[in-house]
Amino acid sequence: MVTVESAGISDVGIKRESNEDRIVIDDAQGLYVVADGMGGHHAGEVASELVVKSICDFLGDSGSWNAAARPPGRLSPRAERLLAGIDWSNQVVHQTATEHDAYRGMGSTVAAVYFSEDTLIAANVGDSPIYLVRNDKIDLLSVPHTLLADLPVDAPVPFMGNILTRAVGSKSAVEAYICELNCFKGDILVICSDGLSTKVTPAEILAITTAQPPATACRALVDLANQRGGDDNISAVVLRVTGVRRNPSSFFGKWVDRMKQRLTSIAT
Amino acid sequence: MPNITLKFKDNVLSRHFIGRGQSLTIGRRKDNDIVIENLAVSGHHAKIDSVGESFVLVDLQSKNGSFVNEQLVSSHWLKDGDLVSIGKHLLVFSTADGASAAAAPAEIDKTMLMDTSNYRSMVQKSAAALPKPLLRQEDASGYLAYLSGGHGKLDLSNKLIKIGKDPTSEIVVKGLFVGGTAATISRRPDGYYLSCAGGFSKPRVNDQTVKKSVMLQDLDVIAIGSVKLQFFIKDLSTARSS
Repeated sequence: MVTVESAGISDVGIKRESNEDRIVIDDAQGLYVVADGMGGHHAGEVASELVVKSICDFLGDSGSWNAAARPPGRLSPRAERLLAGIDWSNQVVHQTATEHDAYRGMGSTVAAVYFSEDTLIAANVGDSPIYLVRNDKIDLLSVPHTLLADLPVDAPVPFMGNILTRAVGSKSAVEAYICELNCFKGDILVICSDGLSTKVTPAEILAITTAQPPATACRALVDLANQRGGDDNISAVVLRVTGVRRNPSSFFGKWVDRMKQRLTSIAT
Repeated sequence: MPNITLKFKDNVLSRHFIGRGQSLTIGRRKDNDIVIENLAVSGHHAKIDSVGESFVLVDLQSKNGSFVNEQLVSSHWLKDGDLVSIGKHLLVFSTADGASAAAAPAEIDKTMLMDTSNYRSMVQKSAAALPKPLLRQEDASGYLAYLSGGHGKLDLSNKLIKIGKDPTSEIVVKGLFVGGTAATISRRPDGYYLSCAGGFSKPRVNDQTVKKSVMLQDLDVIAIGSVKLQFFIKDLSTARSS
């Protein structure tokens, strides 16, 4: 069991009239999502809304999750499930975009963190980053799907380098980046839209999120991005892992667990 | 939007949209739209075609047959809620409109304008801000080779690799103090990381005990309980250019 203290803000920013970002904070499912929609007028809002809704519906439509029921795949069952959810949201957005002229070409990024028993799964499409803060270091758990990121490291920065090379809904199929890692108490995760990540550096995110609890850190991040122009919608989800309880499966681990229980029963 | 949900023992495996004028093929082979990896399923087992407003399921003379609501069928007009059994898998047909939130699309009254100078500076800023992956996904892949406690090698994909006493671990390790899952190896955007997971015997990398997680470097030696492994990274980009 991973327990998480969570907070999230989606802010319209200063320059835009509407908010095309959507966030999901679902502690019951252990699911946290940021989607940044794009497309003319309201289409961006529709795309990001469809993404979060369809992913939540898909992952919530569970039945008892039985890892053994799945054929051995290339990922863990829960990671496969998240990928299937993103795949489904892609189909929903793509279909809506093809059915309605006003929505043609719309799409959305998705950046999702999904907790399992003792791991965290990070998946993304597009340029909404997922950061992991651990051991006073900040690392990226997502891969930016932009023209810029696809170029060799030493190539000159091209004009319009952050045009997305992948988005949810722009094609009939999408391949998300996914990684799964062990979770530790004290880990901090930050999921955001590019409205935040283009204004606030990773070093600043590291400093802000380690200094204060998620709720105030979230506010501070969004305020900072707004102070620096607020050119785009700004969304931030900050998660702090407050505990990871692993199943003790070694003989010694079980023994220690029994001893702990006995001690607490004596103490009470 | 009409859709098909693939289930196995109450677990949703995937969901597929089917629109008017489209068809979906179902079978074991990879070229199907819905792939069911089970030997009870024929290579090309069945298909669903769109006919007018409706959808029809057609069994492609499969070995074990297709069942709709427990009746063997060769073809069947699908209704909302129909349960199609193929092998031990279940496909649920739904005409649900749940996802069609786009009832009345608003008119587009303006085109998107890009402020190019602003854009360019944002691009440069974001380029500087984002940590660059050291190794691009497609350019590198890692593997583990046994030095002792086993033999052979194990290629590392994006799957979380478990090392421990649990028999379902990718690398099974013996030892009284070794946890069911003692350590894991995950692939992150910048490389492979070994994490300590549980148990009293902590993993060591190059004789350093790992308390949380550490990034693996080429030729690192990992020791847990009875097993010693060496980590290798194949840089495919240099392999291609040389």
